[in-house]
Amino acid sequence: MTTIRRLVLDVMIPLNVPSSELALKLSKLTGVDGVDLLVTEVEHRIEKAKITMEGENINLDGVRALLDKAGASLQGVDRITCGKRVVG
Amino acid sequence: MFAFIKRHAERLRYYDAITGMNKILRRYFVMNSFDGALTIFGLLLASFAAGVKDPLLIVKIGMGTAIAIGFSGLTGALLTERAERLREIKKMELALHRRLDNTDYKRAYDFAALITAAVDGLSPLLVATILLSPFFIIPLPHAYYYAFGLALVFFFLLGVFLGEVSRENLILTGVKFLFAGVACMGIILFLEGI
Repeated sequence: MTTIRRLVLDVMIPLNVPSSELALKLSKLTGVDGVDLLVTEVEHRIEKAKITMEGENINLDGVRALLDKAGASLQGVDRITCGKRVVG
Repeated sequence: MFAFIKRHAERLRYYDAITGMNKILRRYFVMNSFDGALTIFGLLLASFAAGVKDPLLIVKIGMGTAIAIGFSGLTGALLTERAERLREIKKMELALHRRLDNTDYKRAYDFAALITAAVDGLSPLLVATILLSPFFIIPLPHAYYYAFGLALVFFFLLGVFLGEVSRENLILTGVKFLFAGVACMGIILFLEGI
């Protein structure tokens, strides 16, 4: 069975939502081993971030739902790594 | 039970991080409890000067006044806070290019509006109950003196609380609030004397 092992997401987060909390929540999802949230741009009301997630079996729908519930806006999936092992 | 409290405490902390409601609650609490305390204080002073000797009458008028202030605070804060926060949400929706219904973000703002209104409404009611409490247990005219004492202590404590917030001299801020109460007392007694 092939699974998602790495995801790189382009996300917009409201400035007043603590990104640390968001990263922690993402890291607690089942199938996720680690999360890296890098703020790339800060604007008037929002910040843009690259979220990299690694794990044995990342559930993309679960990630989407969590981001949606937190009030973040998923702009796109920049990178997705699937299969038995991580390539690249 | 502990997990339940912990979960809700975490949620409150998260909501506070989003909305900054902690500061607004503090402000509303001080403003409206001071409003309530000063109003009841004035009412008691006037009753004392007019020689009202029926404790039940004083309690009824006092609680009626406190309920009116509380209700004014509740509805005023609910409507204005809701409007302000709705405006914030709409601006954020524009920035994010998405709707924010059914998100924790929106829930945090709804909760903040409700809790602000509750604090704004309940604080004068709570203060009035405290200030009027001597009339339930102590006979007149001593109840008046205890109530005046309670009011002055309350003014001082409110000042101390604000001093703690602003990291100023606690005694000085306490005395400032106390002075407001004493000044109010002086004016009322002077006018009643005329």
